[in-house]
Amino acid sequence: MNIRNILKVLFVSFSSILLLVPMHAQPADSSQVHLGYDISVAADENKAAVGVATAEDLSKFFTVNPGNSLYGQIPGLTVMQNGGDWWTQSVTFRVRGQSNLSNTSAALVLIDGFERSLAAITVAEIESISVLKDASALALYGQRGANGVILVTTKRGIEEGLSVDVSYERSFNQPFRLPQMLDAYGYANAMNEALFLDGQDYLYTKEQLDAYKDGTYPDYYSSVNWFDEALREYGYIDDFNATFRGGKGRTRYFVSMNYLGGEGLLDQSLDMNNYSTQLNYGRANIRTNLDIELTKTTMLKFNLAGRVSGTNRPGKATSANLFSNLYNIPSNAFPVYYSDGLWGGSPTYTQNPIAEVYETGYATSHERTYYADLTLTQDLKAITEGLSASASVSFDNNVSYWDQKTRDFVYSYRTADIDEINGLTYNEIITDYGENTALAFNTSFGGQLRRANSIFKLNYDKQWGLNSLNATALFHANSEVGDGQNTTYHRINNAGLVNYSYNNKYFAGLTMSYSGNNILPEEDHFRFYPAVSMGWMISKESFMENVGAVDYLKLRASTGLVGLEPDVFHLHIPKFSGGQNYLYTDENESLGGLEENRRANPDIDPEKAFISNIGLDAKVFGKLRLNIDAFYEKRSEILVSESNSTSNVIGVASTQVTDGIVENKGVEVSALWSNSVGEFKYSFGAQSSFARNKIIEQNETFREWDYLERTGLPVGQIFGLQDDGLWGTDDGLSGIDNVSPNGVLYTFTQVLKPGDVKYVDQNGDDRIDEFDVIAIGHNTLPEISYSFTLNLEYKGLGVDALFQGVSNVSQILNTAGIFWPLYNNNNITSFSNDRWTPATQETATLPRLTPENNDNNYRNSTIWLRDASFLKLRTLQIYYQLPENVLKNMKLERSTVFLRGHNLFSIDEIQVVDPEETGKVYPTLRSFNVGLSVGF
Amino acid sequence: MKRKILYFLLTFTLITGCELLDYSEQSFYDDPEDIFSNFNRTSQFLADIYNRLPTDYSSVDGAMRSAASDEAEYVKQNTDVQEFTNGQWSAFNSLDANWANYYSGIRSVNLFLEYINGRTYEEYQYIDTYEDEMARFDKYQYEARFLRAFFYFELAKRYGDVPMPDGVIDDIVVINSIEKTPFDNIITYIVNECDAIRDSLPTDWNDMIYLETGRVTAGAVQTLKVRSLLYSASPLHNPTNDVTKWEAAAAAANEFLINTDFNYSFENVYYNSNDMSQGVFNNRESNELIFERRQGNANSFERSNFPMGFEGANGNATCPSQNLVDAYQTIDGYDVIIDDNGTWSAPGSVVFDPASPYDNRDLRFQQTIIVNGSDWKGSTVETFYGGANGLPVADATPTGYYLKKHVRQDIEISGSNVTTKEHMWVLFKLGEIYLNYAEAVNEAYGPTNVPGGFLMDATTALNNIRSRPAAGLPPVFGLTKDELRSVIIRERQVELAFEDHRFWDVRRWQLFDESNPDNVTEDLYGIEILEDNGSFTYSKIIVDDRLWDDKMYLYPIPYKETNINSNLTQNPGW
Repeated sequence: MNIRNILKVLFVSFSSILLLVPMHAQPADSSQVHLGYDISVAADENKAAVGVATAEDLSKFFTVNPGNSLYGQIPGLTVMQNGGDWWTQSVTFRVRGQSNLSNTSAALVLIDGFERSLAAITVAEIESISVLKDASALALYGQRGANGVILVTTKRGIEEGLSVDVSYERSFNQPFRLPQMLDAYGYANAMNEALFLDGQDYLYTKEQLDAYKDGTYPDYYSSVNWFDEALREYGYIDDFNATFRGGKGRTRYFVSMNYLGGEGLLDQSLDMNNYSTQLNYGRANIRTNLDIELTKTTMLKFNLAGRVSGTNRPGKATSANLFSNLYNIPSNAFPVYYSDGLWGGSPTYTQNPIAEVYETGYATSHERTYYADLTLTQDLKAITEGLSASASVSFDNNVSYWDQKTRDFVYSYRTADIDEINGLTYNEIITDYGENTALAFNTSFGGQLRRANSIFKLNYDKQWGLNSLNATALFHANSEVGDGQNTTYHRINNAGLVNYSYNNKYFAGLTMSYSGNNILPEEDHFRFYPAVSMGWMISKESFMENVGAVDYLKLRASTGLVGLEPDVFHLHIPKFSGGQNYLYTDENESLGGLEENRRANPDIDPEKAFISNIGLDAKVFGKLRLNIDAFYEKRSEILVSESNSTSNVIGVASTQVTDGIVENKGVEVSALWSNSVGEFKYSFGAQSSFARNKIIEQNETFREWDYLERTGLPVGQIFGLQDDGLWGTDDGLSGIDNVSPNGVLYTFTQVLKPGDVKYVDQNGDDRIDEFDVIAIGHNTLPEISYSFTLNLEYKGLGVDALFQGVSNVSQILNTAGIFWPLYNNNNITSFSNDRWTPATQETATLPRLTPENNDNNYRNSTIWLRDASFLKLRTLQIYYQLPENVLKNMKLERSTVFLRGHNLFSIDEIQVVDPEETGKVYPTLRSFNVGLSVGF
Repeated sequence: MKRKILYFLLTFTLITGCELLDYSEQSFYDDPEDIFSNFNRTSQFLADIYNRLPTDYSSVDGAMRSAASDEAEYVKQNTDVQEFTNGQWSAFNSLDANWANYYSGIRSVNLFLEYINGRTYEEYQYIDTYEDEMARFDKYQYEARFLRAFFYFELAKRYGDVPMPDGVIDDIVVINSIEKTPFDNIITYIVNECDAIRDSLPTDWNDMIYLETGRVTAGAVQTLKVRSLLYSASPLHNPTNDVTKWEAAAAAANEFLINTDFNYSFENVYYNSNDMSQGVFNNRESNELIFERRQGNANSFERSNFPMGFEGANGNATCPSQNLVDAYQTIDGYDVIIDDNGTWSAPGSVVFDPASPYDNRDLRFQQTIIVNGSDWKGSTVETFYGGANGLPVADATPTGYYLKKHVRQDIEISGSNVTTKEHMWVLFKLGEIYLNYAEAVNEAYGPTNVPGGFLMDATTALNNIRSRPAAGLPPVFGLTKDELRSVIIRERQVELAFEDHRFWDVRRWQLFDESNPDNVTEDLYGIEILEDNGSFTYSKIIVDDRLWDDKMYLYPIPYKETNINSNLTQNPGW
């Protein structure tokens, strides 16, 4: 059905194009503000809140994923780094914080007007990235706009001539931070201490501890630094780039080619296999953007971008489980390999990470992506002066699959005791596990995604006297098909925009969308979204003529409604499925069940964002540019569970209802001071954004105590117990039960011991339980994000720096083995140095060690809460642009050599690991790069 | 031209637009008509309702509800079942949260009845088995009505007065303001339903074409009626002691016993943990069984209740109490007591040996409870302090006893040959009818009267239980009405132990009232056994210092419900 529809859309698109008569092209203009759908307004006339990063801004970063070049670049866009494979280096975008209740309130990313993945293209292709933030810009996107829109515009050709740029860069990277795991001696001592404090016998004798310390019996008493064994000093990435930008006659073109490839951090010094088991990645991107003037009035625009990419890894170890083993396996678990060459391993820790790298074969993944779109624009002045029409189609496709070649191997577990008297080992027990096998082959499907779009647009421009009017109406049909069920989306957006200006001083605008999708019920697919905006160019008023310091001053304001489609299908219809079976007959035969699964919610609605924005753009003293925006958003119709407002007497599981309301408000400020003194050019920039949300309504379950209520607090507010220090040895604990000396029952433990966390009994019921949690710290999503930029240049030699930071953000440090040591066979790091022991109880800040999963100590509480604010030096680069006379001799237009580094340092409280990634994954990276670019 | 294009686009938008957006990948039924127009799906819908029948296998957060009564103590602390008796129970902290579950069952039945009415499934009429299938189908409505009545009884015994929605209600406003129906009206409704449907259901499904044992029988319907009337006549719901209520209960029990279509009889063995075919528990084919809640193969109940120390046991055990052990008489019919010095005695008994206090007891004793010295899986169970299965072993029994009844010794939970086996939960058995009969007739007519049309007097009914081969006790005789009541109370404690009766019986009798001559203690006792060279010394200890409040005679209605619906008045005291 959907394919038929797509074909129909196509057929009609082309027939409409054929019906049209031929017009002239609109050259790209940097003083234009892009609003998407190929609509842009002159910067002077813009009334919307739009943040922009240019190609030049982005080029300060070397990135695998262009998302990483946006740190601190656009006010109101929070970019958060995640760990993971080095080639993914994924980021999370949040436009103006968070306004709904789900944690996946991602912004819509459009590349050249179509929904595409930013990670699939390269920085070299990007002309600019704009972030649409207010209703007047977002209302155009109807049911898809409420979480913000990120518009990526790729580069295009030039009117005449050819400009070629070639560059090469090599990047060396290393983990930004790795925690310090304790060595075998430290681990064994810690384990003894933990057992002792739990009233159990020591596991390790003095002789064994000495053996760990002295390395006397390395086969049985080994001390391995797993990170040192598994990782090398650095990984590297090579990036080759060539772009051709030109035009001649009726044709303009931009062509870019990029190859990026590199190797990860795994040590590969044992040359054991005739294939690599490194964490490798390589990709080739190619793009052609063509603009062809078919006739005097007909313009054809054709963009084609493609990528092939592949990864390589050890056969059975994804980087995620490899790194989780490196973190988890204690230093004394077993040696990497025994003196006879057999791999180490144990029944508890079955995966020797070094052996997993070398001995499990290899696995590769392959991914192919193409993005193609074509637009025909026709000037219709033959009908009416100022009228034009355009039609666009796009097809995007992405598919990936895995090839795995895996094998098993033999590893050995060996133990021996130490004789106290003559120090020899005895009682050797050797157990071998596994077998050496040949490679086994397996191919698996990764995923696929197809998207198709068609857009028809009418545009009308008219000037009369001091008045100027611009109007656009468009129709957009979109189809998206993923793999699996309920991954197919069909959407239609009928949108329009009217902009009016008087004397270039007073501006007014109206944006509308009537958009729908297949998530909403039949007969009720569409919703209407209007927004109005106004602008006032104060600096053009006569009373400003004498204010010499102010070169430019504009006030903007907008208000309106934007939507967000529900993320669940079929909520509007009742659901009968599932159910439990029952058994009948003398054979106890099962008969499958069927039940009314949940009620329908016929009133399903998209989220409704009412956004108001007021902004100021100014330029003073010819040197300082200033932008300020303040916003207020009220998001309603958010899906929340019905269960807390419906009596269970109804007898059927509750559905979701659109009762949720969240309020979000904030400000964004950016300033740039640029000047030059002779040949010395400099600029300083600063920007900051603040957004704070509050849950107004979420159908919250009834709370017996007010302080337990989440409503009224920010979304994702961290809750936990409030600690009151640690129990000490002189505090009079009985040591046999879970009642404190002052009669408070600690329900999370059976026995309360010195060194356990002491909590505040919030409701005074003499019990520490889940009703004693309070709001602690902030959210894990920062409320404040800020950056500073610096550029100094003298005679072609320059320095660029960008510092970025966040604040009003918290983390619970709860990663087992890094922050929560030992229990469930977890490891221990130097983070636990501040733990409670009878000797250090005066200064200790963390609870005692225990080999058990101590539910009293290991739970969300202020003991583990940290301020997760940081200030990072995201980039620092030194460049030299060769002077013109040198260039001339070399027949070059331009050439730059540069050295740069990213994530060079961070000032933060967490210190042990990257404050942005506290999990046991491939670490976030620091990199040092050297590069050369040449243009002719 | 311009117009042409515009019209074209507009028309296109309207036509394609709507079609494009009507795309759906729905893979479930969205209309009850789709379910009930198909015979197989209709059967499945009913199966799901059957599945809502309760069991007490680890039904309260891993424990048996018995551990919230004086039958047992649950090993694991900080669990829901402990909160019944430690003061943590409240409307905010509702335990045994079945309010929603039973209302779901009731709605399912209402929906079921609404849609199956008048179906003929004519599309199957030329299939050979059409008539047989329709014969099955004709019974469905009565089965469903029984289940609905059963769910209402489960709600009423917990909460007292509860709302009875009239059919399927989707209007939130109506549901959020529904009023309670008084307890007695609910019982009347259940009784009327039972009378209406009983004779439409078979007494034995083996007489039917599909041999679908496990479905509701006429005997089950009559038992529900007896039990409902008994509860309604009990002091909790009969504060003025209206004798006609007892008469109604007695008549219903008599109706059961004189019904010649019912072929129920007692097993000669109470329970054999090695051979399920001998008793009524875990034995679907037992003649003593009236109605059961079936289950598939499993071993989780065994993992929970095998004595700790046996490999594979996980210590989520419901451990029988000394309170219960004290209720078992010697085989010659005398009470056994242990005094404060730890001395056992059974004044009057000629068989009791204080050195072997667990021997020569009621035959049901060692078939219900594993004691120190019992044989289990070829080993001798040691619950004494320091023994293989006693404290201080982690999660060992705090009472000195482990549960045997329901636990299948023929299941392996360790080694290479772990097995799972079938379980079923006895909902109604013949013994309950005799006990209900004895209790109701005693209250209505006294211990030795045989009213006209009745089968026997109350004392005889009790002796039918007490002196049958499976119990082996001598009969009682010459008791007054009050004395017989006390004996019936103890007999129910023993005969129905761990069958989810005691928790409710002590409530309906209001046994925590100090004015009640059969008053029981709220504290839970166990036995501490010390071993010295093969001989044991005993002391009776308080295992759990329990809290009772009279409000606990009924459950609190979950706060969420009373908060949403102001017509749902909270039960007294909560």
